[in-house]
Amino acid sequence: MFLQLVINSLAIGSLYALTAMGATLIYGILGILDIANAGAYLIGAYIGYYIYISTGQLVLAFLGAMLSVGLVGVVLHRTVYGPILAKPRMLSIIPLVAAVGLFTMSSDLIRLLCGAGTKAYNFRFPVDVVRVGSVTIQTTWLLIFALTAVLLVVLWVVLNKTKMGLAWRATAEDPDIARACGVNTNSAMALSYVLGYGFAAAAGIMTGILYNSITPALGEVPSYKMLAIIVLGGLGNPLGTVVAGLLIGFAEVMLSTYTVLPIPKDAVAFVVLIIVLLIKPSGLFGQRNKV
Amino acid sequence: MNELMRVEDLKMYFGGLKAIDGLDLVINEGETLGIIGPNGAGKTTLFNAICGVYKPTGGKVIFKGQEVQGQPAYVMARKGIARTFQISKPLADLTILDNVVAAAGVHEYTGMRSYFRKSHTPEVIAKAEAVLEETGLTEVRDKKASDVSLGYLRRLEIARVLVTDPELIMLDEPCAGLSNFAINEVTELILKLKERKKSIVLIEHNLPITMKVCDRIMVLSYGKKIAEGPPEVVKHDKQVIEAYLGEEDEA
Repeated sequence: MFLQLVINSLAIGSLYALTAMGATLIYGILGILDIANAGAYLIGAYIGYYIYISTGQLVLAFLGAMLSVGLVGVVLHRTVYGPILAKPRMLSIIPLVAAVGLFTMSSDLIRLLCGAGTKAYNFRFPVDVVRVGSVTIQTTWLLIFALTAVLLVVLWVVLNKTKMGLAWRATAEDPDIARACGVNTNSAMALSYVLGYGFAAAAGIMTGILYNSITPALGEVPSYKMLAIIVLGGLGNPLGTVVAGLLIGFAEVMLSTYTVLPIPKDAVAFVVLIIVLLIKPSGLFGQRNKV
Repeated sequence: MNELMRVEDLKMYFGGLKAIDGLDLVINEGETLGIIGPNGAGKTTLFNAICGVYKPTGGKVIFKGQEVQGQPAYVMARKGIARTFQISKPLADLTILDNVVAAAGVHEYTGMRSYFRKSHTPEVIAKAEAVLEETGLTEVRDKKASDVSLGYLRRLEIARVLVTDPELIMLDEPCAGLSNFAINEVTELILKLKERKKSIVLIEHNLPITMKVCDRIMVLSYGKKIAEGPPEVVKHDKQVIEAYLGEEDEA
């Protein structure tokens, strides 16, 4: 039983980590809390859905949704965040307000274009569950776990082994220095949106497959839960985001199984956040090891 | 000497403030030009307007015969104009080596594909290590930039410039805030660059050093050039003494 719950926690936690990773990346590089990542998550789930029902190809659904939502991110950076950030003496709340507006708009846009009803992926693996001893693992969870692991490894390699990673880290620390090193910081920031929004889109599709339903309200819970995760992990810290996502997944699964929760399950993330911040105000991984 | 850069009638206005007001200057290949002037004279603004941090309000910057004014800082860096900053700006969370490796990619951050190439190739590391050796940073190569003293950070600024193989090196107060010992080290480094016939523009408040290393000195005051010439001539210029150096004590 316990092992089973641990596996459930890992699957849900890794999905949380992936959902929040885009926001972490964007915060780490641009210094803004981009709630609109939850919009990317929602739009990704819908684009993935339409590609999947038209082609029957799940891989195509993932690639198409990640790429198209990533491009939406580039457009938003060029037309909204970039111009806002370029303003002298810009108040840090302005991009946050813009992000909230964009997120709200994305939900309404989906409601308008795709209808308010529920849609189902109806994706089925040839085998529903895999049994290892007494532990039963849903194949969907395995997919989520494997895909999240692959995407996070890709992110780690990009951040630590490529010129892009170095360019991002330089841009995150000081755009003036990055530019003096030859980095086109606008392109570097735009690319962070491709990756960040792409990750959110992948997380949206996985959620759609896991719960077999998507609605225009799909982004609402992630919009605030991702905040708890990225703050808990230490703002802008990818490793912290993974650990925080797993921790919250674990806390939610264990508390809802072994206790009678006096609060909604989705509030657990904030209880964990409050407890951790009381002990370590900079979050689990503070400002170190950020993007 | 061949002309490397020519600045013509450069203007940099911030609203009503004329930080640079119709400035002309020429930098020749292999020459060290010093820029001095009181605080607020527009020295760093001049660097920023040349290097693309600011878009000049007017005028021309001609580098190797090409007009380059108003281009972004990363384009200027790729063209071979490298600068340091008045306040040391290390990439604090990166090691000293990674700070230099980041700058070594100056000509390679071009296009989507280039961004996904390996950052730490043996060639890049070898080049970065050679520059660390030259600037006396080898002993701290693996330390985070946030963990080393200001003397090292000043040299890191120069290392970051050198690794880009620049055609023009612009140093903004490289000795500011340093102890005498560290000042000597930085001065020796600048003299070594001078020996290698590097073209250098130096902003420095430490006049003995400026006089020692520069072939020519330009004096700025309120965004305008008030004198220019060899150090010995500038030192005795009446306008310069009034505006910047102050009267010599006759007692």
